Amino acid sequence: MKTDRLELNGPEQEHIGSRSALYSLISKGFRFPAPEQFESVKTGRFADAVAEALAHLPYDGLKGGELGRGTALSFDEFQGRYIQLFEVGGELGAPCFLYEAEYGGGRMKVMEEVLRFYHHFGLRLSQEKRDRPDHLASELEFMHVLTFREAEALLQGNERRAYLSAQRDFLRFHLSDFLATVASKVGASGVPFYADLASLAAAFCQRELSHVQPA
Amino acid sequence: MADIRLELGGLEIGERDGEDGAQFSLSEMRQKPLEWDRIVKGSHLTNCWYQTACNFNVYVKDGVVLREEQAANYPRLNDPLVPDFNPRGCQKGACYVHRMYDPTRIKYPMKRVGKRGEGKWKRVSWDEALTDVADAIIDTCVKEGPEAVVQSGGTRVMNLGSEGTGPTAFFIGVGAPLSNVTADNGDDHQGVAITLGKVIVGDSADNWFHANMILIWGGNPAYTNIPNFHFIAEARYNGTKVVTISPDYSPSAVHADLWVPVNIGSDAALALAMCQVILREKLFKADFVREQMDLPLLVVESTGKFLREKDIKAGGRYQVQTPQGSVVVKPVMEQLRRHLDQHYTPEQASKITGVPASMIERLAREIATAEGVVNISTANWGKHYHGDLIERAILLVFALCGHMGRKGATFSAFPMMGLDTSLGGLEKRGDQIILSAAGGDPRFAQWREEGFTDEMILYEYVHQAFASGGITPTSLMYYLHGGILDLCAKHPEWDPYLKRPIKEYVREAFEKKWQFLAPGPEKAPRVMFALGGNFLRRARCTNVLLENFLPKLRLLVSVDWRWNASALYADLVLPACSWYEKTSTFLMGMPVQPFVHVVNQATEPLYDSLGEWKMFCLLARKVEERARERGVESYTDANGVEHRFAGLEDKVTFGGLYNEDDEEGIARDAFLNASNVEEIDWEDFKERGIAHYTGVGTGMRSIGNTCDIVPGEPVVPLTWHTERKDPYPTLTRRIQFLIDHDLFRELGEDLPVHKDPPKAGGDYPLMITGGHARWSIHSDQVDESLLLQLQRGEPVMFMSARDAESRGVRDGEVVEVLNDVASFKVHATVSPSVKTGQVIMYHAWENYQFDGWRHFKSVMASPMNPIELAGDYFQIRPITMSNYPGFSDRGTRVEVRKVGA
Amino acid sequence: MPSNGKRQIAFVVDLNKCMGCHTCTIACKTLWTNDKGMDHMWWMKVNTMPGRGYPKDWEQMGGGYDGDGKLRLGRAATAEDYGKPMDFNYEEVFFGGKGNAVHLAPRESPGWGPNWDEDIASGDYPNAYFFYLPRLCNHCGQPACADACPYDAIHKREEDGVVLVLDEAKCVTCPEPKCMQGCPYKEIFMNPIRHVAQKCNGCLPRMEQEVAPACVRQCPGRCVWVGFLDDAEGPVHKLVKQWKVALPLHAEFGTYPNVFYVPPLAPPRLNTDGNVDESKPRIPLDYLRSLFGPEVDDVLRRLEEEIERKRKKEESEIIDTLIARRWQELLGPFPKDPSEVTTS
Repeated sequence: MKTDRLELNGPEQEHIGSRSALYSLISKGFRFPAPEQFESVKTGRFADAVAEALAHLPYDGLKGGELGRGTALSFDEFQGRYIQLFEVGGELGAPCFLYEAEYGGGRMKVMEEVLRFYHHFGLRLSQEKRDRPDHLASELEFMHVLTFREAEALLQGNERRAYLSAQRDFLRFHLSDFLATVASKVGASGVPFYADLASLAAAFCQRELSHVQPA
Repeated sequence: MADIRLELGGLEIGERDGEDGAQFSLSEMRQKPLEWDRIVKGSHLTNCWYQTACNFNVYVKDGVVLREEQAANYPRLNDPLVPDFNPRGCQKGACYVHRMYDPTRIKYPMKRVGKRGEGKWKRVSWDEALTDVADAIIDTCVKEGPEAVVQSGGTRVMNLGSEGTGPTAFFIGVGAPLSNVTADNGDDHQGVAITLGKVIVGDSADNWFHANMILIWGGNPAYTNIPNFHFIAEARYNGTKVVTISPDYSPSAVHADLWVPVNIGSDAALALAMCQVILREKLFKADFVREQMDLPLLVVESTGKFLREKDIKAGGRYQVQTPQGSVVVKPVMEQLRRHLDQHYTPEQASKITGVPASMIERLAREIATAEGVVNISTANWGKHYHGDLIERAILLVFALCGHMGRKGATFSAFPMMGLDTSLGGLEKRGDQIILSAAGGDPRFAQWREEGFTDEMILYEYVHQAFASGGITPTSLMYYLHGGILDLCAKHPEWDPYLKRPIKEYVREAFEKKWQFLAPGPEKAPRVMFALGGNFLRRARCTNVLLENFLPKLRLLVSVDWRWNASALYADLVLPACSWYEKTSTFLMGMPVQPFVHVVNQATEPLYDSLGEWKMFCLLARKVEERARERGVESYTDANGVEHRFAGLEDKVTFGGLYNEDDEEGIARDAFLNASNVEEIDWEDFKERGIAHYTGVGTGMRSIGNTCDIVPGEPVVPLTWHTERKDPYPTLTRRIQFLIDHDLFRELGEDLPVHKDPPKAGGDYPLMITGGHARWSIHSDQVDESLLLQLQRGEPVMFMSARDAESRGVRDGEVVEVLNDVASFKVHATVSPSVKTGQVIMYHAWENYQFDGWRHFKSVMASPMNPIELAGDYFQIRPITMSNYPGFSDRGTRVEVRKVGA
Repeated sequence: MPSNGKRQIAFVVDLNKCMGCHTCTIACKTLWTNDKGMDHMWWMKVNTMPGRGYPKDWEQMGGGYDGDGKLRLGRAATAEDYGKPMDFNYEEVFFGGKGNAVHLAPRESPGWGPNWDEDIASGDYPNAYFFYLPRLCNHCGQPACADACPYDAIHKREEDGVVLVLDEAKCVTCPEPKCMQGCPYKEIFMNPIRHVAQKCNGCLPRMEQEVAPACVRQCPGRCVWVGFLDDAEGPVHKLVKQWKVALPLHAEFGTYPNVFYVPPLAPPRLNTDGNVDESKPRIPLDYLRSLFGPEVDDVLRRLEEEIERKRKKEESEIIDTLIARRWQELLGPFPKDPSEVTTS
């Protein structure tokens, strides 16, 4: 039975749950920032949530960093940084596009395959957002769904191999190289929050790649 | 961690539930056929001109358009021996989705924060962007008048859907001029306009199959007419002789039966010498000449002017008595014969053209004795300084031989066919104009008495739109307001035939009301919309415009779906949605394939883009709102008419008939209200994607074809003249080769002559030619990554093996191309197909594809040819698409220097 | 043709109709090779001939069979022979804030590409010559790629003669690409990401649903026919077997290719004085013979004679077939529109 909330019990469930939560958090971090998101970053709620998730991961060594806690930027400035970094450039130089297919591979095939993944697991692109399917935030969100479903299957005693295979393949063929590129471009920018976020995301997905081992 | 939630933002739960956790195999998933959610008919709302448009199936999955493929559902023709039109569609259309989602898309409204062209941007909300535009419009209307709000004009605005109707209704609502870009493109056919009284004359591709000879002269259909090229290859198999005349061994010469190389710009001499042979050997069609041409008319020897009715005293029977006394007269034919014998024997022409006399004679005889000859000439001659003369000369060949107005025997100029829709009164149907003229225009009775056809009456009204400033030629705008005229004033030595300084010709033209410009020479444009086109890539003398034109603008707004040169220099960039994201109907169609096409919306507008219809409805609302807030009520235009800001939205939406979200309503009614298309209902049309034209209709952009359109039969233009004996819209009511206008006499062009091209750009040894590209429709795909892979990734210039060798240039090396005006760097492509002395730059590379953004059009000095200023002569007055000065680039003089690898 | 399969699919490409538009190239690219690791793969491409082609100088790389029918390995194309895939600096140009100091160009100089020779003629003006040659896998009667494969990963299907990489699992174990060395047309490519050989699949998923291959169906020049070689009523059989006006490319490679070409006519040469020179053809016959074999002389003569018959308003079944008045004639047994069937 598909649900949208899971109560976690015991380390195994928490391991999956924390991974899922972390994918969700990072995904939100890469979306165009709304005021609530900014508030969450500035107050440190975002960093705390990341730390909470990190603490329950099945592996060690990842650091969230400050993730913009207490930033002096105003909301407009914060949003401006996002626009500069990922959309229209500016004093930070040329932007780093957040679309996977801009970093190798044919655009349409990458988009098609991402859609196939989404579709296979009963998802589709939000009709409201009118964006490409290979946006980083959507790809991370997909991993959030897969891990959520994995946890759900575990809880309900169902087979979860498919979720694991899909996670591994999606990381391997879509997210890992993509995130490494984004991290190398954005990590160096020194922009509060986003530099930390990109580094964390890339490191997380690398760890995930070795962690996710379908039977 | 106690619990987690499933949180979705960019994704949502689809209609179909996911697989259970037991099954996932990447290779199976990859191999599984996609089940499409929707497959809709679509096309590409770009201006492919001759090739426009192609019916595609557009495949959509989960709101993402993933592929397209030709629908290939064009019906069979009536004659089973003629090939059909399928599949129609080229490489550019076949990968449009790749473009649609690429990084050149403009995603959000953008505001410039650096210097113009610096590439520093801020993302703004639609409200902020529209407020800025509205304020600039209000300021300008009040300070300088609405004529200072201009559009660069683009061919996309000529569609009937969102992208055309929205902006056009807005401009009309504001009282700002619409633009006519034909001569700015260099697409004008002045020679045809002068001779036939119109330029819109074109046949269908299946008509070529009926010809005995296809004369590719001034065109390169292998690049520019991809969906129809098969008719040429098939006709050749069928025994039609294909002859290509061009300086270079072009891709369209490859499949010819005969290729005749010719010196650049010498085509008039070639044609005139053919005419000399045709007359000398009495190969002309006497009946056609007598009935359809001005050659039997009498001309007064001393004045060189036609003998007009007013010149003849009553009773003068043998000796022609005129109010000025007795005059000697002779038929135009005699004058022409003497003119040709004196100046254009094949031997004389051979020296000019490089074509041997015997070849000229052979061509003349083959053309004259062929049962039917058709020409394939794209928009080439308008881009030559003396293109009008070339065109008049070629037309003379066709007319003398009677290759006009018959199946398989046609001359085509500016192919165009349009729905004669009456949507909301925006594009008035010709019959309605004529009806209202009949009811209310005192001139109507006289027109009818003088034998005016509907076509002629329509042209009167179009001319009126120019004279009142309702339509303005953008070429004149750039010449006068952009400083390009100063450039040619500085270099009078470029054209040795000039009798007076160019500015004197211009002054005369405005004084005598031969030409019109909005805003007039005393004012300047202040707000400019780069709309439906890309003027900073298109116009010649790019540097001059950047220096002189841009600073005059208070606001440059680019409305487009892709970043391009004009957007990069703009102050505000507004994202329009692209071609699969809205429903639209093509207004502009072609006789070449006489079908109207529809574009179904395949998906919602991407990112923060809007259809132009909605955009301009919202802009109109914003203008009203800002005017109210600022307490500004009205403004006055150049004709002294007062306009009010209040009610603008109502004007744009046709009194609220179509609201801002009723984009489809616009396209639908444009189709349903047209009289010259199959009567099928809208949903059927959307389903099929195409509908057949059933007539030329009564639209300005269509009626010039003057022929019946019968589905399944070839389009054969001008048959209303050749068969129905309708008069031509010319002074003599005939195909007219003698132009007894004073300016034509002053410049020695009263009969078609050859003139050497000017040394535009300075005295340099190489001449640039060009042509539309294989790889891009204008600049729409010119920086498309997939298509660039199939080129060299960067602009190239073809040069001859000999010129390359003498300059030490090897294939692939970078060269600098320069003249007195500017210079640019480009990669050389070296080929022996190119004539020595010729370099070829194909169309539409963007400024930013060149080192330092030094655009190749910067060197194209484009001097104004004063002959194009002529007016106040029956068929020589500004009307849609013709008779105002245009840009030229062919034959621009340059030198090429090696830079290195 | 030593294939012992039941049937053979074949293509006829009419070089007198091909205008070099590359719609076939794009149709194929967007359908099959638009994925990671496939940047350099152009299963269908159109080359200006004479030219070095794609991959660069493929005609000199060897492969195929020697005179005794013995497999002869050549060399595999290298990254340099394909050129570097072009990756463009859009973000630098549009948003880099450096204005005209940066222009749009591939980040790395490509060096070569699938159409690098485009429209570059041979010969001397005014007697320059060139023509367009669309190339795809020949689905050979005796496929050297399959013979060369030590792991039996490449198969020729019995039912239609399509040559496919059937077993990717076997393929990935191969230490060096023997198939690439074997194929003399260099129509098999290595995917560096998936470590498998990939090649034209004949649009099999389409053909299985009676939809013509994309390069055939999408060709606006109507210059490619597809059909079974043994279908005596079909245009492919008639052009190849009956009238023999369509010839294989480089038959001497010994693989019995199944793509056949109607050789190119050209306008006559011109003398130094600019008049027609009928003494020899514009495209040197030696060159055409080197591509299409000695039969090309007869075929060109035959074509000219048949066109002449048409000029005299006489009948010519060959020409009528080449004209292909109904577009569907080109599609052979695969007449369906892909929108009517489930396919990708």
